[in-house]
Amino acid sequence: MMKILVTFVLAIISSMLIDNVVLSRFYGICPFLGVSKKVKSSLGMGLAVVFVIMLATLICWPLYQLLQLAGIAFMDTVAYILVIASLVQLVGLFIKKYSPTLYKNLGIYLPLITTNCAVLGVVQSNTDQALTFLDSIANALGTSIGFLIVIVLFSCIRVRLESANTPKAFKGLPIALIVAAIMALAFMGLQGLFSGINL
Amino acid sequence: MKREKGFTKRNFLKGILAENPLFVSILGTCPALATTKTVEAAIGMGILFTIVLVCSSILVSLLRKIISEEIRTPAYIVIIATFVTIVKMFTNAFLPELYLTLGVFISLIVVNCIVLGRAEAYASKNTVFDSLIDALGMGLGYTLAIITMAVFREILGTGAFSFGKIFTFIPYFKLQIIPKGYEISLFQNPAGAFIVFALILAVIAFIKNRKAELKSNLEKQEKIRKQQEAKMAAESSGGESK
Amino acid sequence: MGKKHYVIVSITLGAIAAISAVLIGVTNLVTKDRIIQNEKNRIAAGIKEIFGNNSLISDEEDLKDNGYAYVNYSYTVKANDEFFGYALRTTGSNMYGKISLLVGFGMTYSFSGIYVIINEQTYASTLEDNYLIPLNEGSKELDDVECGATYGAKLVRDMINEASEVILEIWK
Repeated sequence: MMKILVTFVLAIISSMLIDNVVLSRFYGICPFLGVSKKVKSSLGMGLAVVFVIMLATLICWPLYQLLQLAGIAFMDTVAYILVIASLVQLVGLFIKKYSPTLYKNLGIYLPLITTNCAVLGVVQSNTDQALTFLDSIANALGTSIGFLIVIVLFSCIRVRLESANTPKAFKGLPIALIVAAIMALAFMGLQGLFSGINL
Repeated sequence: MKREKGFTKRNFLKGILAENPLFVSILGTCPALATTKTVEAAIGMGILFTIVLVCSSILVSLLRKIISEEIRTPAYIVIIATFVTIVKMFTNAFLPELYLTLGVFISLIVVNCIVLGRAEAYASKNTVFDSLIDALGMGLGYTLAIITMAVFREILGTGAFSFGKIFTFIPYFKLQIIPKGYEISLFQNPAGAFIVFALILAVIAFIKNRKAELKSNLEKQEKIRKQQEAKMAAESSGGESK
Repeated sequence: MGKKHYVIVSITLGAIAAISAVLIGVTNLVTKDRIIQNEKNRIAAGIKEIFGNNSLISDEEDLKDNGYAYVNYSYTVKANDEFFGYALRTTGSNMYGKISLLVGFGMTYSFSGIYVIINEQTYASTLEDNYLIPLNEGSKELDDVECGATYGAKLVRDMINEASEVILEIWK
């Protein structure tokens, strides 16, 4: 039991920091660059992504087993994207009904999540690699929290960049990408973080 | 409907330069960073992407009168996902090396904003032929853009340029450009991908700024010249009236 | 917006989904054999890589239902009509992706080489350069997993260890 727990936690941390979605797997670069100009909006986007990834994993993993039983496992991508698109719609409606303030803050990012590769990427790679249900959840949790952390950190730096004196050609996106590169270098330093722990 | 001369040509070319999906609209960045370690992988990705874009644009344009407003997005997503799955299967069957190299990024063409974006913004409003040309231009523009990134990353990162590992029907060759031991392997890493992308965008911004500056300078000169002319005219007319 | 409108909308969506299912199904039928053939070719190439150019697969056994964690196929290898050794196909995955290996065992059930069939790990090249290739050349111990891609190396170690146990059972 203890071992399972430790493996679970380590799996979350490793997919959160060591193998970060944005900085080492390149999922979800579009929202990472697009919705990171303000700290508040990046926080909203990150939280929405955490929510949708978790729900999508909870639904798609059993769905894949069903597809396999039915012998049409090759329909997986189509099924996943439909699930994700309708999930995003449902979550939007739900939040709108029960918490209009949250909807106001989050609403505009919801449609963007459908085309966020992090969601489909996590779901697809979970089933492509034939991970168990527990591992899939660990992967989803770690990945989505990793996305949240990185996008919030990135937006904090970008706010500072606005007032910085950068060369004219680098103003805006290019310097932000350089920042992302330095962040990726920093995250690379976390490689081999758990090599001492024997599993 | 009458159209201007050269419309098709401009429609095709706009995707390559003026409205390049990657370097101008900053769309489809995930595969652009993830599949550009080698030029070969980038070419493969570009081809698959173009096929999906062209096929889905044609179908969306064909069905534009049948699909009603409220089911647009789900219908388009299903159409795109279908073509992606078909392309994925054919790649697995006929170019297995490419399939293994690109991995999950073939499936992720589904959520590439460019495909859905072109379907919503162009193909759903225009004729089949125009949509086809638009999709071809955008696809080619994107392919050229990711190849540009891959050229820098492969040559700087591995010091060599190799071909034939993925497209196995071409004999394998390797061209050492930077002597061994002097390559900068950073460019093969994620950080290098971001740096290359940043530098290319900065160069484009630099050229644009230069052009804008030149233009504004020209305009200023023009303005001064006009002012002087007006002054001269006023003076000469003033002189006549005296 | 009457009832009729919704009926039409749902019919169009259903029709699109049905057409997509048919298209994908047909493609699956067309490409299925080819995909299986590709996989076979890759394994045959791996056998040649491990055991030399004359070697061929003479027999194949499905071990998927035997309850092993990683090993799923065993191949009997012959060269010039003489028994040459066994190769086990073993597949495992962790958070960083999937690895599928062919592990070869020679006459005296000695470890004679590995061939990478699929390596979808995030740090795939690190793993290959610092662990798999030195391991294959004999310049690295199996238990020395510190290589920059430790998780992947641990997975490979477990896979090879299991394969060596399985080969003993097969030999009996």
